[in-house]
Amino acid sequence: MQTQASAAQFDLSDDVAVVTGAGRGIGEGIAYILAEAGAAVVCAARRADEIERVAQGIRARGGRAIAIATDVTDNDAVEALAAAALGEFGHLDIWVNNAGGSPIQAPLTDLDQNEWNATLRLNLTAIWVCTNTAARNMRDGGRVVNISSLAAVTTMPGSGHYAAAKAGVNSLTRTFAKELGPRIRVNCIMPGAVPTEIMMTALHLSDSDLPGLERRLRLPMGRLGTPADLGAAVLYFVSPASNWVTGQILSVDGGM
Amino acid sequence: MQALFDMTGQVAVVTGGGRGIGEGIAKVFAAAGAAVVVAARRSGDIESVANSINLEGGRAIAVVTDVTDTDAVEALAAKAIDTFGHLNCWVNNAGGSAVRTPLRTLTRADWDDAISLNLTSVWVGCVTAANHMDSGSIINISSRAAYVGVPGSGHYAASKAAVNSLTQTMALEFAPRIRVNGIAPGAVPTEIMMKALDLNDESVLGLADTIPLARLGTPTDIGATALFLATEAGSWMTGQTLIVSGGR
Repeated sequence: MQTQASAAQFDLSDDVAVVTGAGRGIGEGIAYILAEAGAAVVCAARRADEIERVAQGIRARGGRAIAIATDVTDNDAVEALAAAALGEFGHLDIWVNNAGGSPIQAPLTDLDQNEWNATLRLNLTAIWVCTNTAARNMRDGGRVVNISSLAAVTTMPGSGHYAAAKAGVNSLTRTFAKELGPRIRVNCIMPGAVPTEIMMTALHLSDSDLPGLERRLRLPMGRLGTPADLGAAVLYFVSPASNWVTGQILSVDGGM
Repeated sequence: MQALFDMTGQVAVVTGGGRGIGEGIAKVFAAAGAAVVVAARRSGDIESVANSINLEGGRAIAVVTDVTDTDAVEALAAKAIDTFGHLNCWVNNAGGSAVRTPLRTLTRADWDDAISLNLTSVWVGCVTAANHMDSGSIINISSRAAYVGVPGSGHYAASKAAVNSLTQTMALEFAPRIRVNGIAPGAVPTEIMMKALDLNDESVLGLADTIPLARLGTPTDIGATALFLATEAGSWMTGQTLIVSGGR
């Protein structure tokens, strides 16, 4: 039987967490798992209706959550998000930089510079800004987790701008870990094939492509990933179990 | 929620389980509900770890095993299954390096011993575990030495770098039935590390200044990460080696 000491390694009852991009997909999965582990969760994203739905879902299961509509590319909005977390729950301990994406697919030679700029702003600059804001507002012992992408370490023709931004996130993770330690730990996860809207767009897939996709992608573990798979890895990185882990970039990808 | 990190009903073998990191992993697994088979060469150490687990309400046995002896490793797996009925988890933690010397002056015999203990035994351990498991998780304990130059311990570092490679290939060969991951610990002041880096009780404390998280690691730090890899929480992870090093 599992003991209390063991369960305490993954307990977040005393923590307040901000999750960006929490309205759907991986971010939604992360928000639910952190809430189940006991954290009060501030769900952030641009669309208010989606994060309201997630926050209500968490509260309906007995958890604590609020929704704060936030555009992470707007510095003032990010500052207001941190302030809302402090105002509602009194402190801030965990910040998950999950918001991101890339609606435009184009070879680098054809990519419009405005698209390049927008992609870098959302996927890289926002991570720098959010992590700075988090670090300023966190209690000692804070944890930041960045959601990067396997695109950072592989080639994905048509998504070179997104891949470059995510490679930048991996690098930021390492530098922030050294600069913010020992007060705050910073780690990163590269999700593999989790069929979210972002992945489906990046791979030009529709729902009708899903059956058998794990075979066509040759996923060693024989199944696609789920938001819960990613949520569990985030829980490891924000819980006492990883108290001596910082600056790490972990692939959660079914062996791909 | 806590079911994500629960090992109730699982049976885990931990080699090198008598001291240091292996002892930490065995105790963390037992606290998470696993029945633990504690293996090492010296019976006194593993008996004491198994006793302490049993005293705290867990389930454990000690099996004297030299992991460089293929027959002994086979007997270890058989004993685990005889005692607890099945096998789900195997941690290749036994290892070390008694000799510290530059590669130029290392003897062939000492090189062969390091490779046999740190690399060949991991290949044998993985294969034996896979032959006895329906499904489950294998965890190879590597070292941060695998990623950097370590003057005086080049033989040990090379053997651990090769363990990381084995983890990647085994992960692909054993998927989807069995997951294979690794942990590369940084400065955890065990007997092995003190010897490998030629440290004493005083000089080891200075190491903390070079670590972003400002402290040395503990066997429990490594045990908690092993628990993540062994449980439902890590069920979509294979082929990965996590560096647990305080950020250094």
